[in-house]
Amino acid sequence: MGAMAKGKGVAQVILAVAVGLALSKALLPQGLIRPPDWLILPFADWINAVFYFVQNDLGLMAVTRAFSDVVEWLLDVTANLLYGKSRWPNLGPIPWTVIAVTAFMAGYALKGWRLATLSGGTFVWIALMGQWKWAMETLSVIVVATPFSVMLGLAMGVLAWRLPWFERVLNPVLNIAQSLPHFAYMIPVVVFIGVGPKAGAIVTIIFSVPPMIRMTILGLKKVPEEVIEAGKMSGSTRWQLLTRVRIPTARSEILIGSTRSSCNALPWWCWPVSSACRGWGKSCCNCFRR
Amino acid sequence: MSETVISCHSVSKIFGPDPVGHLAEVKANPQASLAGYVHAVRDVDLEIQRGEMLVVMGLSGSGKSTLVRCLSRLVEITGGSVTVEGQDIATLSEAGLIDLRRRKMGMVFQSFGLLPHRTVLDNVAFPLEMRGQDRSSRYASAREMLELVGLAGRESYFPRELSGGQQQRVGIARSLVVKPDIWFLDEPFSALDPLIRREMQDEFLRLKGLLNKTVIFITHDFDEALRLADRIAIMKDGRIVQCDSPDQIVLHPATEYVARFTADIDRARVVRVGSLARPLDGSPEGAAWSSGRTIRDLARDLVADSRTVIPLTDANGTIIGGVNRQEALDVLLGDGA
Repeated sequence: MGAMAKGKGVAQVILAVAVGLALSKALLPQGLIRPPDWLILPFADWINAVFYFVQNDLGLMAVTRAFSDVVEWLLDVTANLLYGKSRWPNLGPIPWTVIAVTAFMAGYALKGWRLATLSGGTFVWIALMGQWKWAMETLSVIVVATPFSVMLGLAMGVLAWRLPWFERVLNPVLNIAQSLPHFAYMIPVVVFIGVGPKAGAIVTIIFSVPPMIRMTILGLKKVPEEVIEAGKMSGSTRWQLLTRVRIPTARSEILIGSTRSSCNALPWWCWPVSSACRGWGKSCCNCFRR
Repeated sequence: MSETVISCHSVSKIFGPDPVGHLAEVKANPQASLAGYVHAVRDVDLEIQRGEMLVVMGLSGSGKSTLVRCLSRLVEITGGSVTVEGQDIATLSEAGLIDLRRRKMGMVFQSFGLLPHRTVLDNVAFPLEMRGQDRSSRYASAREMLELVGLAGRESYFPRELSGGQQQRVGIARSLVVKPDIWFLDEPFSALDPLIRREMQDEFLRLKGLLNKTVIFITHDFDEALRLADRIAIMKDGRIVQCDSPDQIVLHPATEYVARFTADIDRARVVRVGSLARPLDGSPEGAAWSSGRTIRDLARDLVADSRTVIPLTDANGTIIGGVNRQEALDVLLGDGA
């Protein structure tokens, strides 16, 4: 009761000050109405300095470029297979009929006729709508980015579950990663990675990995204590306990995480255009230009 | 003859921010406050013999589950020592502990603890997989165990497709597949409905007779304890208040608390005539009775007989003493004792 009354009193004082300031606007000095230039911190310069330091002096560039080279190599392989970019292994492009039939068979094997019709039918429909090439350009990025984010998310999720301090650090980072405007990712990515499909893929990974991390942590925490004890009494080592007891028992959460992860990856087909990626994003942009 | 398999020496377990410090405080001043601490096991001394069936009985929160977890080091003890086959398990390395569990121990859990993504066969074969045994030999052993618990033909089912009783049979098969010497059962039948529980108890007695293991069985059900035990340890607030054979617990409850459990029990069903045996004064008179039978079994004979003292024999047929007929009748009729 006391605390509430006190809070109410403070609120009334603040309201009175606000009303007072609003009424006396004409009398106040200019500096209290609009922030004067000398008050604004040179934040942009500081950030730039840090950025240049990390980028050039710390040699982080070398690390990120090495990682992005791996991603680029994978992207070249999928690009060759899906739409015939002239890179190793020089087998593609895979005929659209083959891809559609493969999707159909995969659907049948997983869930039966209904999923088969949906997955195979979608590819046929894309082909009939004349969107095949763009779809494959987009898909070539997605098939690289999704497994990457699932693996990365699983690894980081396990780490965060294992080390409580890492989870405490990771949580705000994940919050920012999920709430930051999507274009804001682009700037550091372009600085550290460069432009092109690999940048598109990496932005996709950054954006789609948080749900995977979160669901992995949740799933691992929810494994019943008795299941873990049963694993221990069966003589599991720590590694066996993690890979054969904890992760498989948490599989439903982890699967939800990877689905959410892929769903987060998909809308990105629109963005890669800004990093000079090809695919539906480009086609979409062309429409805007007209 | 008898050989101690597990021995506990003043074992304590405290949960809380500084368990060791708190234990010292409690040792110095037994009335020390427990704010923020849970003293789950207090100063337990216990010896378990090879081939014995010990039932740890207590209500929920009495520390019985924690005590049993101390014996396999699923829970690290705060004070005292636990020795398994002469080895202090607190000194074992992680690899040594894993090896001990792989070779010597099996455990059954109240809510089964089965792996939901594995079939029945793979669940039972799991401990062998952990030991790195090859697939065909571990499946062969697992099939044998499933046969033993009456689940042959269900190998490819998943745990969620089985009833509770069947899931617990899988848990039992899994705990036995490594042929352990020491078998822990943590309220294995408590999650089952009464009819199935009865059936599983019979099944358990059959398996126990077949396998001859050292068994540590936890339950909160006094009837179950009486039915199954060679010896019962009754726990309250982390302490063992009485550890004795079912006969002795029923005839001579050590405390008021134990007496409350035994009050509603039909003693004649539990007490064996042997526990009333006294040395014979003269030579045995007439036909001797087997000392292992319960008073209830012998009810008719007790009423019909006219001897004052009836001689008793042990399992080998040797006369070990005599029972006063009046005393036995008192137990049967529910007065005295």
